Amino acid sequence: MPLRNPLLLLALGAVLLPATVAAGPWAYITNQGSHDVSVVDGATLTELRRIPVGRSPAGVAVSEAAGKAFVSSPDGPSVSAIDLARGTTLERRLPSAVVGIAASPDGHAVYLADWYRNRLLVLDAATLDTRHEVAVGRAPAGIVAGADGRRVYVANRDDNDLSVIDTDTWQAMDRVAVGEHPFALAVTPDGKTLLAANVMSDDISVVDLAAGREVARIGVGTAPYGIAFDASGERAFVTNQHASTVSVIRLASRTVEATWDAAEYPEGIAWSPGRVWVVSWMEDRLQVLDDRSGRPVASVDLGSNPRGFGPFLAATAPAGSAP
Amino acid sequence: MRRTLLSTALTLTLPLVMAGAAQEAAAHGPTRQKVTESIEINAPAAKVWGQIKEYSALQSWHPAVESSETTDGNNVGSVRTLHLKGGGTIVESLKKYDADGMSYAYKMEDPGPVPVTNYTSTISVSAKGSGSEVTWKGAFYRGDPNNNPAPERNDEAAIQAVSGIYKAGLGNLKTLVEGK
Repeated sequence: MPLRNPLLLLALGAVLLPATVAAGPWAYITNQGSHDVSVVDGATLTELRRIPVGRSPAGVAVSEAAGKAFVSSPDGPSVSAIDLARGTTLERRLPSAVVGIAASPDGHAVYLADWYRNRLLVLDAATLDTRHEVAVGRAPAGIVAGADGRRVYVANRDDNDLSVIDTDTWQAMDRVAVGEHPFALAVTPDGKTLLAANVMSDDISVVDLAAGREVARIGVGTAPYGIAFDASGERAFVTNQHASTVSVIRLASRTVEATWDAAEYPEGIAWSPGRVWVVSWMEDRLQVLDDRSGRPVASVDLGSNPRGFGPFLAATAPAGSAP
Repeated sequence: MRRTLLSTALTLTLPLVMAGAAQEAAAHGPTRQKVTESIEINAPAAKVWGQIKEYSALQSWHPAVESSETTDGNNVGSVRTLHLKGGGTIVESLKKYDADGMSYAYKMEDPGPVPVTNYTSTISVSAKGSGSEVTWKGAFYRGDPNNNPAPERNDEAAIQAVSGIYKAGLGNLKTLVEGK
């Protein structure tokens, strides 16, 4: 009798046919040495293709809202947008080298950090035309948008602080002091907390976004470089570039609960259910670790000098992938 | 006497260390480079490690180094100053030392004449067949981290210099160990 309910039948179908719902995610990883982006299929753990982009691509920001993977190429200098479904690319030249890149939550804007000119560039996500330039601190690196889209945060590496930018006025409204040489930034899924990876002081700054200040410092391994959260935001995963490890942070207690061995020079990092994805710059490969034990479960060869600096996982299936 | 010599060396090298740190803090280019060189040696890994394990003894196997001194031997944090044949000084600090794993890693605080910035390196020995293999890896930025560097300070020049240092050292190491 209960099986007459069509919704329940659908739900049962999903349970009985896990292969059809477990496809993806797909990783878009910048290869700075081979000037392209590796697309890795998370179901088969194989590299599907390499998409040529600008010179020395480093930063990446996948936006499901925009349906694009945005890529910064500091030696172009240029920005590229890869259409997730079609695989087509659009590239625009920029005036100066850019590394950090992020997309607005609504997918309408792309943010780039202009390394030499100390500015945040705000681009139209559809056309990649520059709409605004905002003065920030010295050597701006990582960027992250606040969850509600009203703020953008930029790591000023050489000023040891963050610029807080209002997206209504496009003015820098505040600076928040953090550790030495902040590079990667990430905001927790609930939008309340920002983490900054301080490359020189070997720690993570915990910033309370409502209070607008650093509230804790968590020591990790040498040269922390990338940050990812699990879906619940209970744990953060940090790559330690010089230690070749991943630190697992328990956010409620602000403690490091585990340190896992990783391949050499781990940089970009992402989380998907059951997995932590780690890009090894030195070994030219992607390592997939079990997200509870840290054990390596797969390795996928990439192009040369891969970075994957930014959120690189996409849920949208690319053209030509298995249904 | 030894203490006096060491403190003299420290006094001399400290300004160099600080100059290097200031230069690095100013900026580094966005594109990091890497070089890996390795060589097979027809000798047990332990014997090869015995030749290179002293952080203070690069001059005993690298043909470009005239002499060197360290502040704290093989302990992490030890700063070594390399005096090069033909002039020039390089200052490096020890970041990791793993005697069991036959490996150590260090960072250049002052690159001297080497056209690189923000340079880190690891050298390791492993058993291979009946002999061994030595691998020397470096990660660095070019000498001039700004836009449009001069040819002698660009990415290619940096890669060529580091690769040359590794090849010269590894080649001489092989000759030394196999000839013993």
